[in-house]
Formats: sequence, structure tokens, C-alpha cells
Amino acid sequence: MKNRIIVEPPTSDARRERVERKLFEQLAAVRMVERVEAVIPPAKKNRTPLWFGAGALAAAAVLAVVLFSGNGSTTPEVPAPTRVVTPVGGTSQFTVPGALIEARSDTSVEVQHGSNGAITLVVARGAIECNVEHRVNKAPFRVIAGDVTVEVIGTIFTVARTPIPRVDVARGKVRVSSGGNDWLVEAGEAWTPSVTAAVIPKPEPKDEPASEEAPSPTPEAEPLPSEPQPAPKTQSPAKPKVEEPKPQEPKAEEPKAAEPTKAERDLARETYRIANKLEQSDPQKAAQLYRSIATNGKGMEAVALVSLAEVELRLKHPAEALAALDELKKRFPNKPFTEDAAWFRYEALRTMGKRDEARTAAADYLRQFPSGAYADRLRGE
Amino acid sequence: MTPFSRSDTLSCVGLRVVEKPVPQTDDELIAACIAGDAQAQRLLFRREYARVNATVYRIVGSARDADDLGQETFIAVFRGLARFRGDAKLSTWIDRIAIRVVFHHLRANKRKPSLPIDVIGDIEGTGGSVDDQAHARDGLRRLYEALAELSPESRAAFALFAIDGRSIAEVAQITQTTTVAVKCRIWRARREVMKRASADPLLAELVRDEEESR
Repeated sequence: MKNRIIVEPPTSDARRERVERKLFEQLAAVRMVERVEAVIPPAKKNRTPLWFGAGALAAAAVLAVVLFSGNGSTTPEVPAPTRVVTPVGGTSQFTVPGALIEARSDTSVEVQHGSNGAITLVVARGAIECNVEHRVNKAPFRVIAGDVTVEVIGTIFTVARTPIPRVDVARGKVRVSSGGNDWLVEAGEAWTPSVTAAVIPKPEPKDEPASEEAPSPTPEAEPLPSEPQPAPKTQSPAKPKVEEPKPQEPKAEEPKAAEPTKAERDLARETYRIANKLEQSDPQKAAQLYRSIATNGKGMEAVALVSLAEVELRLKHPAEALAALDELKKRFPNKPFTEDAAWFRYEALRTMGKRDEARTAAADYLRQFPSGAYADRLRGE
Repeated sequence: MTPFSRSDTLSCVGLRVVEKPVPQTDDELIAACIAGDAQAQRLLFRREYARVNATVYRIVGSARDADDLGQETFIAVFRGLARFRGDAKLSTWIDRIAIRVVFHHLRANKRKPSLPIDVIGDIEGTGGSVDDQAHARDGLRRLYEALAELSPESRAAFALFAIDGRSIAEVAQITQTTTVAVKCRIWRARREVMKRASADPLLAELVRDEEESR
């Protein structure tokens, strides 16, 4: 295949000027809407173009100013619900009485105000992070994500609706209600719905941070692999009403005869895709997911081990990277990506200060891949 | 008679004109853009547009879509500039936004099978012959039909690497993933394109190098 396929983009000035004109018209309209929204929040979102919306909102703003400056009796006691929608890749911060909320990428959340001052955030999609003032003797603050309700007692926490519901508590305490059961989730804990199928057992215990909590007598079930990995501690049921699903006993060595099913391969692929996405925002979670695939995944173990090595290097964990590479070499001596593995091995050894071994790894790389992607860099070092 | 200038008018009422300095560095430019300086925003747009337009066009293969997506990209850039932390170069940060916008577009339009007529722009090195141009356009149309079958991730990785001429490391940086993942995606895309090329001489002519053609 050709090294490069030539496709020349259209470059006329007229085209650029047209894009520029439309862009700045739209920016001006957006600014106008923001200014108006700062005066009165939009009661209802509609899908008309922004510049039409800006005109309508401006008119509403004038009306509102007139009403507000007259007397206060016309002010509604309960504000209308407002919706915050963030685009893919974008985030948005907003405040509600007593709380600062960050809506993450591709999120849709509606803010509802109760007559007693209660705040309810309904997450239709995505995830929100809430920093809420202590709320003892105050009206309740709730977050609803599908059939999961989180009630706040003053805390910092995150509620995700998609891909599956999940609550992470950074500070304080929340009460999570789902399917008729309640859980108290405290700082450092995470809550997810019980897993009944496709359980991936926990990774090696050495990877878990030491916990002062009494460990469960049996290993906890891991959340579905299509979600970010669990927080250091798992949820503590306040009044468990249903029996937790019994986790599978981790098996040291799976028999190699069983071919992975399509569902298992899809699961591994999906987990790998999520780990990929997490690499920038949360490399530690990504590393745990890769480790999970390498240990329990079906069909993606080799590539997961290479990716794990790369992420561990980025996290400045060269020993872990080296361990992943050793495992790759042992389990998959004939798989592709050995070029990357050879390079990462050199990087890991060099970072660990093992200069002689790094030099040997570099020589190995150059011997095996004299025109490899990293060969010039190695020769230059 | 010298016309009465704006500065004269202002000085009459005790004010003076202060010339706004043109931002020299990225930091100055970013600060001015965040402050809402339209001139600085235009400066940033004009500086970055050509690269963003080329990148987006090479992934989506449609001039009209590239215009819309370029516009969306810069709206996101200007609205998000206050959150730019300087971890990467400004151009890389803008490219990442462009790629997210493109991903969003590709996912949203996954079910639209057809390609617009303006899929092809000018083709370098084909000479002035109308026949040659038409021939090359057909080849590119076939290429983008093949790319339309891929996942947005594979399509973007392949287009950035094989068409936009970026290195694997750059593609990984822009798409915010590992080099291994990028190689996997390119490999998958290349396999699909070559599979199609084996049954399509026009596409084969476009993508195969001379040695393979022999």
C-alpha cells in the first residue's frame, strides 16, 4: 500500500471567508444567548437556531426586567426546571442553591426545584460531579439516574447514568436507593448495581490499595467490565434486602481448550475500547481495566498487556510495565506487537536506571527490527 | 486641512486612544481570545483554519461537511479556551477538539450510506487533463466509500496516518489513545481498504504502490 494517499483539501479564500463569517455570526449569537441566560435561565430548550433564540430570549429578558423592577409578587416561587446538555468532549459547570455541579462530556441533566427548596437533578445521560454543602436540616438534595436515586448529606460525589449507573463518593456520605434497596455509600466508596452475569473477578490483590476495612470473607464481584474499574472500597449495604450474588471463584489457570464465545470476545473488545478512552483522563483506571482483560478477557489479552505496559510507563511505573511485558512474552511468544513490546522493555529498563539491561534491550530491538519505528531513536540515544 | 481624527475628538474630552497590541505569543493570543477580543479570535482562526480544514476534510471526504465541522470545531475551541491548560501545544489541543467533533459527526451519520457529490477536491499531481481528474476523483470516491464502512476510530486513525501524513505518535496524541491502539486501528482500516481494492481496479490504482501493482 502507498505510504501516503494524496487528497488535497479545498483551499479557496472564498470558502474560508464564508466559514469565518458564519462562525463569528454564530459566536456572536451564542454570546448574546449567554448574556440573556445570565439574566434569566431559559425555561425550556427548543431546537430553533441560536440567533432566533437569542432574539426571543432578549425580548423575554426585557419583559423579565420590567416585571422584576415592578414588584416581587410576580416572581414564581418555584423556578421552572432547566436542562443542561453538554456536547461530546465538552463539560459544563453550573450552580444550584448550595451545590456546584459539573456535567461531564455528552451529558443531559435536568434541574428540578421543589417548593420546599429541595433540589433534584435528573440525569438522562452521561455523568455529573456534585460538590454539595452539608445539608443537615436543609431541604433534600437528590440525584436521579434511571431507577437509582442518590440522596445527599453533604458531600462530593459523582453519579453516572451511562454506560451503567455508578456512584462514586469523594467526601461525605450519600444514600443510594435502587430497586427497593438502600445503601449508605461513604467517602472512598463506589456503588454500582449488583452484577449477575459476565462477572470479571478482581485483579491480583497486590494491585489493590491497602484497606483498613475488614475484608469480605469471599472476593467481591467486580462490576461489569464495560464500566470504569471500582473505587478502592466497595459499597457497604446499610440494610441489604437481597442476597448479593455469589462471586465465582477465581481460577488460577483456565483450560486452553475452551474457545471464547462471540459474547466473551465482544465483552473483551468493549472493555478494551473503554480502557482506551480512559487512558488520558484516568490512566490508572485504564491500567486496571487492561489488567482485568489480560487476566480474564477473551481474545484481547495480548494487546491488553502491551497497552498496559505503555500506560504503566506513562504512569512512571516501569516495574509494572516490565511485569506486563514479561507476562506477554511468556503467554504470547508469537503474537504481534513484539516490536512495541521490545521498545517498551527498553524504556522500562532505562527508566528504572538499569543501564546495562536497557542497552541489551536496545540491541535486541535493533537486531530484530533494524528498520522499526523506534530504530532511529534508539540509534540516536 | 487635516481631518479631525478620532483621537483628537477623544483628547478634547480628556481621553486618549490606546492602541491594542497584536498578540505575539500563544499565551497572549489565548488570553485575548478568552477576554472576547474578536480580532484575536479571527487571528487564531486564520492561523489554524487551514490545518483543521485539511484534517477534517481528509477524514470525512466532503467539503460541505468539512466546512460545517470546521465551524463547529472553532466554536468549541473559543468556548473551551479558558479550560486550555497548556499541557499540549495549542495546535494539538485544537486538533483533538476537531477529532472529537468529527467522531461525533461520524457516529451521528453512521446510517447515512451515501457520499455527497463534492467528495473530491483538487487532486495533486494528476495534471490538467479532465479525464485524469475524473479518474482520480472516482478512485477517491471509492476510497471514501470503503472508509465509510469502518468505525469512526479506525477511519480517523487511517485518514490521519495514510492521508493526512501524521506519524503514529501524533495520531495517538490527537485521538488520545496509545500507539498500539492506533496501529491496530490503522491495520484494520488498511485490511478493509485492501480487501476492497483487490476487487476494484480504480481503488487499487489509488492505494497500491507501484511494486504491489506489478
